[in-house]
Amino acid sequence: MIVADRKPLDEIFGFIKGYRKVLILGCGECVTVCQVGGEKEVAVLAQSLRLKAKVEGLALEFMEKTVRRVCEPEFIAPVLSDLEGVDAIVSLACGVGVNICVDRECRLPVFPGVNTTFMGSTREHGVWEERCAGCGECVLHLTGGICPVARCAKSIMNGPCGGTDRGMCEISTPQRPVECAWALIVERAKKLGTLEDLKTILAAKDWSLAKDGGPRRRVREDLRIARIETQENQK
Amino acid sequence: MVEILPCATCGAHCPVHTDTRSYVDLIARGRYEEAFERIRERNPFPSVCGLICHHPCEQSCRRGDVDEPVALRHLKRFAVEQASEYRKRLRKLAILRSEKKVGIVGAGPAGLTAAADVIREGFGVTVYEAHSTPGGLLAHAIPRYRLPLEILQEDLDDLLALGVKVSTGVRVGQDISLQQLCQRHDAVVLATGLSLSRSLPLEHGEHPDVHLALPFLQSAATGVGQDIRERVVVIGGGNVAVDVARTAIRLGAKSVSMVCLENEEEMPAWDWECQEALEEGIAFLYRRGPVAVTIEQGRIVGLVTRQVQRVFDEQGSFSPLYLDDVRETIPCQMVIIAVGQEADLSFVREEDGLNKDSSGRLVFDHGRMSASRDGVFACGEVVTGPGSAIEAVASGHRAARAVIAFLNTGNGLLLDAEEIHELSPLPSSLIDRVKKTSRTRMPVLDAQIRRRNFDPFELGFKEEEALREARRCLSCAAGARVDEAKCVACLACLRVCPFGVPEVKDVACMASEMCQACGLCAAECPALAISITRFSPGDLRRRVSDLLGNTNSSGYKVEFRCMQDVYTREDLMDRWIQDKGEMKAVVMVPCAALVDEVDMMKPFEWDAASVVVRHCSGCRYEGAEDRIQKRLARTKLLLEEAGVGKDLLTLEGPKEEPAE
Repeated sequence: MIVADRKPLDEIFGFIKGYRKVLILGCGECVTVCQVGGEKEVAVLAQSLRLKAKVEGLALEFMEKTVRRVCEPEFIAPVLSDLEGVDAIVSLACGVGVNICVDRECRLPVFPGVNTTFMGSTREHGVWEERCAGCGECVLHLTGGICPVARCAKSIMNGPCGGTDRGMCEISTPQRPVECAWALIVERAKKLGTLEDLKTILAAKDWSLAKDGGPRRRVREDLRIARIETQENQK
Repeated sequence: MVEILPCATCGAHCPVHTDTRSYVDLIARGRYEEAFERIRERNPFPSVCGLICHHPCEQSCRRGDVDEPVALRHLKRFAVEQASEYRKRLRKLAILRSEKKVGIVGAGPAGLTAAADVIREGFGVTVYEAHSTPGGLLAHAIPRYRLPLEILQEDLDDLLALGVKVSTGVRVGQDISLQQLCQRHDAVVLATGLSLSRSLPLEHGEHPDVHLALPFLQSAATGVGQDIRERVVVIGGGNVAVDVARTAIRLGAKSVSMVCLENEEEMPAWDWECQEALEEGIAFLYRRGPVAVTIEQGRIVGLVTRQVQRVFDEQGSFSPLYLDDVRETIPCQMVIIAVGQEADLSFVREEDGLNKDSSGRLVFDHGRMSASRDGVFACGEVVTGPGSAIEAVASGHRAARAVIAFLNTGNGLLLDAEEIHELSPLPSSLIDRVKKTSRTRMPVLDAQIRRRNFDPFELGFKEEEALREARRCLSCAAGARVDEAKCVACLACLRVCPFGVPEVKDVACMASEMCQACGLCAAECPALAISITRFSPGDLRRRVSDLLGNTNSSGYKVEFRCMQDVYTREDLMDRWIQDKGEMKAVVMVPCAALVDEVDMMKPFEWDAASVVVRHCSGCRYEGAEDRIQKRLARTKLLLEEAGVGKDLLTLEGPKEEPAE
C-alpha cells in the first residue's frame, strides 16, 4: 500500500483560500487503509477547513467526494465531468491522484492534501512502516526477504555498517526507533541456515532501474487493445 | 441479493414475534410511547402480557447465557404503564368499508384479537360472549393478584374503541344457535377456549367440598363468596393448579398442599410461579397420585394417594405407573381438582354442519384455520389446546388472516408455515467477554402479606430500575452491517472490535450472532462502510443540527453525554439547559465512543463556545474508553490547526447535573 501523511492544515488552506468552492477528493484504496484519504478523512478535512474558513472570515464552500481508486482514468472521469461550481480540488489520494486529474485534462487547479511518503504495510492499528522502495531490481532473494534498500538508512548492499547497535540503527531516537535492516538480515539468515551466503559480496546496485533512471513506464504489449480505426479517427 | 436479517431470539420465540429488542432499546432511550407502540404492533393485549405473559422471550434471551435474561416482561409492563395516557389518544373507531360482517364466539384473547384484525380491515364484527363481561379466562379465572381487572380493561378499551361490538350474556347454542349465527354473518370464528375443568374418577369425588379448578377460580375472580376450609389439597402440577393453590391461601386456608404426579423437574407449572407459591407457604407433594377422598361424619378428612413410580414412558408419552401399596393419606377438608381443561362444544348441533372427531374435538384445518363448514373458522385454545394468552393472540391473528382472505375472495387461504430466521446462540467464546450485570429484581409484596390478599403482588419497575434493566439488552441482531461496495477490507474493524466479531476476506463480514452492537467499528471505519442497525446513520448529526438550529445565540456549550448513567427520561432527551449561567445544549449518545471527530468539530461551525464529551462511569465495551480518549486528543489537534483552540474541547467524567 502507498502510505501518506496529511499536509498541515495551514498549508492546504493556503492553497485554496482564494477560491469559492473546493472539492475534497478522496480515494478508496491505499489512503483509505492508511487512514489519511478515505471517505471519513475527507469529511474530517472538509470540517477542519470549514472551521478554518470561519475563523479567517472567508466564505468557502466544500464538496466531498471519494472514488474507488483515483489512479484509474475510468473512476476519475465521472468526477471530473461533474464539477458544477467547483473552482479548485484538494486531493487526499496519493501523488498519483493529483497527476491523474491533470492527465485527464482537469481544467481546475488540483492541490495535494497529503504528502505521499512510502510503500509499506500496517505494523499495528495506527502504525505503518516502509517496506519497499521500488528500486526496479529486487534483491530480497539474497537478503532473506528483508529489503536493505527500503529498510537500511543507507541502502547499503553489504551490511551491517558500523552504525548498528544491538539490532538498532544509529539514526534511532526514542521517538523513532529504527531497526538495523542488516542486523535483521543476519538474524534471518541464522534461522534459515544461510549465514554463509552472506559472505558473498553483492555487486553495486544499478540505480538506473530505480527513480534515478527517469520516470518509469511498463508496457505489456499482449494486453494492449488494438485501436479500431473509425472514420472519426482517420480524420 | 436481498439480505435476510436474522431475528433476535426474544422476538423469534414470542408467539406473535413482538419486536422485543426494539422496544427495549426505545425504553433505554426514554422513548416510552414509541416502545408501547412497538409492543402493540403485534399484540393487542400489552397490559395483560406485561403482567401474566409466560415470556418465552426471556427464556430465549441470550443474556441468559452470560448471567441472567433481561427482565423483558417487567420492561413491557413499565412501557405500558408509562404510555397509559398516551394510548388513550390513539383510540379511534375503525372505518368500515364493507357490508360484510363477522361473528366471533368468545371474547377471550383469541376472539378479540381476531375481532380487532378483522375490523381494522373494514369488516363489521360482533363478538358473542356468554359471560356478562368480555375477557374470557383473563377476566373470569386469572386471579386478581396476577391480573387486576382494571389492567385487563385497558386492553379491552383499546379494542372496544375500534368499534367491535360485544354481545355479552349471549350463550351460543342456547340464546342463539350456531346455524343462526352463520346466517347472520358472512364468516364465523369460534374462539370458545377451554371452559370446562377436567375431573378425576375419585372415590367420594362427588362430595360438595371437592371442587373443580375453573369454577373455583371463577368465583374467586368475580368476587362470589367461596367457603374455604382450613386445610386444602389441590390436585395437579400445572399453572392452573398453582393459581388455585395461591387463590386458596388468599381466601383464608391455613394450609394448602399441591399433590402432583410429577417430580419437581417434571412439573409443568412454570418454575417462577412455583417459587412464588413456595414463598407463600404452599407445600408441594411430588409423585403422588390421588385415589380417594376420605369422608368422616359427612366431612372430608383426607385425600388418599399412592406413590407414582413414573409419569412418562420411554418415548416421553404420559403413561403413569403407580406403586399401589405405597399409600399416604393427606389430611385435608377440601379438595380442588386442577388437572386440565377441555372445550365445551355442547353448543354445536348436528344441524350446524360442523364435524367433530372421534374424541369429540372440532374437526379443524390448521393450515386454513377453518372448521368443516365453509365460512366457519376457529382459533385459540379450543383448537390449539391449552396455552398462554399470547399464544391465543397469535392464533387469533392467524384466524383473522384466513377470515379476511375469505371475505375478500370467497375462498379459504392456506396460511404459510411460519419461517423465522432466528439468530444463533451466543458463541461460547463470547460469553466471558460480555460484561456481566445483575438482573433488576421486580419489587414484590412480602409473601407473608400477599398471601392474605388479592392485591397485585408485583409492584412494577420504577423508572431507574427500568432504564437500568433495559440497558442490559445485548441488542442481538441489531449490530454492525457492512456496505460491501464501500468496504476496502482495511481491517480497522477487526483491530478495534472488543468481541472479535469481524472476519475480513474480500470485505469485512460481521457475524450477527456475535456482534454486540457497540458501534466502535463504525466510528473507526475510514471508508464509512459500517452502519449499526440500532443507530440510524446520521442520527447524531441530525439531532445536533436540530438542537443547535433552534438558537440564534452564540457562546453556548455543547455536551455529548453518554446515556448509560442517566436514569430519568427528562435527562435522556436532547435539550437546552442553563449551566452555571451559561446555555448548554445536551445531546445524548448511547456511548461516548460513537462521537467522531466531525461530530466534535461541527458545533464550533455553529458558534458553540466549547464542546464537552461526557463519558459514563464504566463502559460496558472493552477498549471504548481508549478510543474516546484517542479520538478526543486527535480532535483537539484538529481544532488547534483550524485556529479554534484545543482547550475548547474537553473530556469529562460522569457528574450530576444541577437541574435548573
